[in-house]
Amino acid sequence: MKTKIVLLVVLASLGLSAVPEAARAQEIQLEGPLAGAPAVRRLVLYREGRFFLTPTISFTILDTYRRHILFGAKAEYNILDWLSAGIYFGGGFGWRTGIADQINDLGIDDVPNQDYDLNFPQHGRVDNQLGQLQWLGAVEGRIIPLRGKFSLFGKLFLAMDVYVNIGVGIAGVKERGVTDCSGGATGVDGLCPTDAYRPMETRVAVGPSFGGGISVFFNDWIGLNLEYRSTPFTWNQSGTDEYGESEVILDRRIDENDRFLAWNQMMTIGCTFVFPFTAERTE
Amino acid sequence: MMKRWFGLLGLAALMGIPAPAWGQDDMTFDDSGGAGDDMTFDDSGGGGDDMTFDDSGTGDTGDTGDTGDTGDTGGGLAGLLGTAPTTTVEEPLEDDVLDTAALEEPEIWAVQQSYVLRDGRFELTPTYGISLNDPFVTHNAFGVKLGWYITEVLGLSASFQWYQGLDAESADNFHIPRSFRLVVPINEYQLGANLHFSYVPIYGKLTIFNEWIFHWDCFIEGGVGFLYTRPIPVVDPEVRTFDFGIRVAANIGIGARIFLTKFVAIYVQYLDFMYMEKLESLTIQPNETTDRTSGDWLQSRYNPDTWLGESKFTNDMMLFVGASIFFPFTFDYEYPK
Repeated sequence: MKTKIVLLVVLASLGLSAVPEAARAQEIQLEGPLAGAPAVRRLVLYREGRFFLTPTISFTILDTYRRHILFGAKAEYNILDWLSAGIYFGGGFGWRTGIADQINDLGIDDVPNQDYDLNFPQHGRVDNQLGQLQWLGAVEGRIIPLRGKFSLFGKLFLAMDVYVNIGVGIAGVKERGVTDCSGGATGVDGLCPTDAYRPMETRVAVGPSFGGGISVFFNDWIGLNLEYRSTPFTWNQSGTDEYGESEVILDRRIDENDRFLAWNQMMTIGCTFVFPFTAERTE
Repeated sequence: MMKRWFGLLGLAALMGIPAPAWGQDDMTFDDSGGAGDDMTFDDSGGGGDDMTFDDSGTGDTGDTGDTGDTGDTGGGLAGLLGTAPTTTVEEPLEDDVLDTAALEEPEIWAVQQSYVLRDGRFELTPTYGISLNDPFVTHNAFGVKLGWYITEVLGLSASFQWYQGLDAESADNFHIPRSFRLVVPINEYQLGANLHFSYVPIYGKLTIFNEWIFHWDCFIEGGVGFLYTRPIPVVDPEVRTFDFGIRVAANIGIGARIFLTKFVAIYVQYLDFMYMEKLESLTIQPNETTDRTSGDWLQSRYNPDTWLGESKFTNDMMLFVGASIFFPFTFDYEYPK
């Protein structure tokens, strides 16, 4: 009897062992040899772990009174191939737009019996009151969601990426200082200027800075950069009294209430140098 | 007695030997086969008859030919008992699976077969446009553009824009005259119609976070057309009114399309319309007579001939965004991929 039991146990255990185990599925690539492959193989990591230094020239756009050109540079460390952090700084000078030229060609002294107005300068002296952007800096983060390449005329193939950046901008602006003519021609406290005295003051304006751009890479370590940037902040670009009790009833006093929000848009072109010079490749 | 034990153990050992699981010559993915012979791709499991492709087991079905592997399947007792193997077998299943890692790395062209072909196709593009460079009046427009591609890179198109009722005067139009006593003549647009010649020199593709690929192209464009414009009276608005008139305009620009499918693309374009604009006269004539027969009529404030001033070369820089729809929706490649 004991033998039979042992025999049954042995047979039962062997029978259990014969129960087929469920098979593990293979990855059957029904869609061809590239199924499951990454979007890009041997991707050149132009950015990840590398440092960008980009000398730049920036032009302000859509200005009403004064255009500016800023010479500067961007320095940027790429934490990942799609994420970087950096700084920008540029300084330069400006010149009058066509509208400012027209204003400059006029003058309060052309009006009979007048030689002074708080807003309207004398002939040829509009530069004494128009706001100037002296320098602009930004600390910003950058996301590079798009990587790719393009063909130019079907002959030249270049790598490129597209990015957006956002950060904090600081600007050195020179604009008309506090000028109070509310009390008459000489103003209260004697602050209302004569024609020869239109005080300008320099201050630092702070605002967000955002934009986006394209980088085109000619090889592992040099590229071309084209960027749009906006740094909105308030300033008095015209150097005029624009607000009192309301926008219609003025107070004949130029101060911070006369500043308007400006988008301060600019286009930047730069040549990017990448360090170290050799980029790694993905599998 | 000992012989019987050895015989039983031998029998048991034989039963434990997994019968070879056969690769299937006749792998079918339809319902026509017999019950035991089909390879099924479901989760039903079951005995040794059906080969299942789920993740629950530990054995590798790909090794079904290796009898020594304990995890192997498809045989066992059924095989020993002489039941016909349900998944009959000539070659290991592994041979049916392509190991891409072992393949020679294929040559990848910079831009292989173009994702979208343009040659001979039409492109219909509804657009919205906004002017960029006029600080006094922002011109907005809804439009539509119909194009046809002569070759892959050359195309002709006609566009129409409607502006009237969409213009927006800026705050500068209020502040500058007040502060500087400078009246700047401004104009409004009613409509525009243009012919364009396009060339597509740039074609590329981009990945989004290295996951999804989309294709794009960049085109330059030039042509001629007209704008239907008139001055907005700002110098003497009590008296002056203006009719719309045709201004012949050349246009030149650059644009890009981002293809979402082979027939739908996001469309962005910068276009500069260059034309001679007729502006309101900054001078108000001194006479007030309304008598056209009077000798003072030529210098009358009410004489329409005195209302227009100089013609000025004007750049109307517009940014258009829209969606391109190509048709026919499908196309055939001349060469295989």
